[in-house]
Amino acid sequence: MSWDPQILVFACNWCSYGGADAAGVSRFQYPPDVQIVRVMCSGRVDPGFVLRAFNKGADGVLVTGCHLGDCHYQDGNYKAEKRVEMLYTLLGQLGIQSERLGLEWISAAEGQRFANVITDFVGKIRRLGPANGGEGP
Amino acid sequence: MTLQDSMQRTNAQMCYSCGKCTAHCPVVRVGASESPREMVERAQLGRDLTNDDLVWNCLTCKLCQNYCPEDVDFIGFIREVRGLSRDNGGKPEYTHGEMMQTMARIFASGKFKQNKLEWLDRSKTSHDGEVALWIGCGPYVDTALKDHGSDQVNISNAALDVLNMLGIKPRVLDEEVCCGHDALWIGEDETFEALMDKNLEVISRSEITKLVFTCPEGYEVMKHEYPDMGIELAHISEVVADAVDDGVATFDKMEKKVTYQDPCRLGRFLGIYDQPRKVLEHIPGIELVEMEHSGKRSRCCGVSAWINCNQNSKRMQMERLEEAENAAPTLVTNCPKCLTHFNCVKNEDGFDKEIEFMDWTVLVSKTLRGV
Ligand code: SF4
Ligand code: SF4
Ligand code: SF4
Repeated sequence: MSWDPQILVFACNWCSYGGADAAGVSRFQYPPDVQIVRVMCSGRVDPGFVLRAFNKGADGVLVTGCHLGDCHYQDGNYKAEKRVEMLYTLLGQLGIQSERLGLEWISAAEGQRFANVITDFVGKIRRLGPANGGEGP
Repeated sequence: MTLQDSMQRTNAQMCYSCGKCTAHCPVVRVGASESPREMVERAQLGRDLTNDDLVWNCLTCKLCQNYCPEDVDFIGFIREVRGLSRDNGGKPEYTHGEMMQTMARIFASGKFKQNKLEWLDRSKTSHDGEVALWIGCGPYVDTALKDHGSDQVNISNAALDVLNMLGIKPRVLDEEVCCGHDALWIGEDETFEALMDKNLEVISRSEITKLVFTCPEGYEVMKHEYPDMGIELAHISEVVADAVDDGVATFDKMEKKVTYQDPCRLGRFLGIYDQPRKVLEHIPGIELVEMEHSGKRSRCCGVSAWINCNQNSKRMQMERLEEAENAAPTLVTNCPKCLTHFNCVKNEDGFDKEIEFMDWTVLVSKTLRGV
């Protein structure tokens, strides 16, 4: 039975999206199961976006941004971190495994790291199977 | 469904433009460009209302209906116009990134098995009692809005203590889902119906005979919008007031001068004004002072159904808190959401009110000494 996960990745304009570009330019391979949404800052990722993704059938959501201290807007990634912490609890209450949400810091120069992070996250979601308890791998 | 049908159903075609609704509407008061009278008039002229600001800015607080000489059910009308607006792609300004509405949709879908009762001390509950305590969305809202001052689990815990002290070990229905109140009032009928069907099933399977609420919204929607479930529904303040009437409840002293916020659902929707006051006045040391607008004329906490929280809301909240401050140093709220919205306004720049908020059930739990 083949199943491909639906995974949403939020990438910030200044760092992690640049990391995705760097991965592309350097031809580092990563699995094609992710859809990347560019946001200006990881701090723009409203917890509501994450809930809506899961409600619409996402199996995993990964929030990425600049390393702490490197945020283009100074502290947007600290806000993202706080929101993701809150979401771990909220997802647990909602009955959605909190491992399905990830948070990673990737700089614009870290193409290899971007590819590795995506590969690991996709692997994890594949092991977890579909979020809504539907048909597994 | 058309605008004409909605006008028939809600008596809006009987409006003769007296403007009393507008004169009392708190949204109009804080300087909004919209007015309920104009909206009804425009409907009578067959204009398209779906983009009017008041469609989503109305608090559905029902204050206007106190004064309408023609019995126009304005909030019923608004609810129907919201449905029509939705059909045309209209939607409210969701607050908190649509988190609350999305959670309701997630519960309605039944895709995940919720897990909201980790905090619950099961020794305070029973497995097969006939009375149940409704928990509702509090645990989720507490997590999502901790920084805004949401404190709903605390209220549920206080309700458990109060019921225990009155000799009731309530059930908690593990499978209950969101009551659907907000989904209904924002015109999401499909979500509301899915939630209602699940709850009807859970409640009928439980074989309880009485359901007690701390949240007036759950109570209101089950009483007025669900089909008759053949069980008694009650707010916790009614339960305690009954115990006071029977002369069985005893209270410790608490020296406090307080004022009381009538929640719109508990007051104007359900007519419960006296019971919470009676209990407060029965507690030795409590002095209850009314605000300038109270009871039927009470003004709103500023937000409803987690939509359109904006500058109007903040102004309404500040005005309301000014009234409260003039009455007493402590404002007793009796709706978990009123408390959250009021706590939130404390975070606003320039907030300068010296006022303490206390939930009614929490206050009672601190003084009730059993029967
Ligand atoms: S229900 Fe409340 S907010 Fe809405 S029009 Fe009437 S008074 Fe104004
Ligand atoms: S109070 Fe009633 S009759 Fe008067 S304008 Fe408002 S809706 Fe019309
Ligand atoms: S007043 Fe209420 S709806 Fe508005 S931001 Fe605060 S908690 Fe949210």
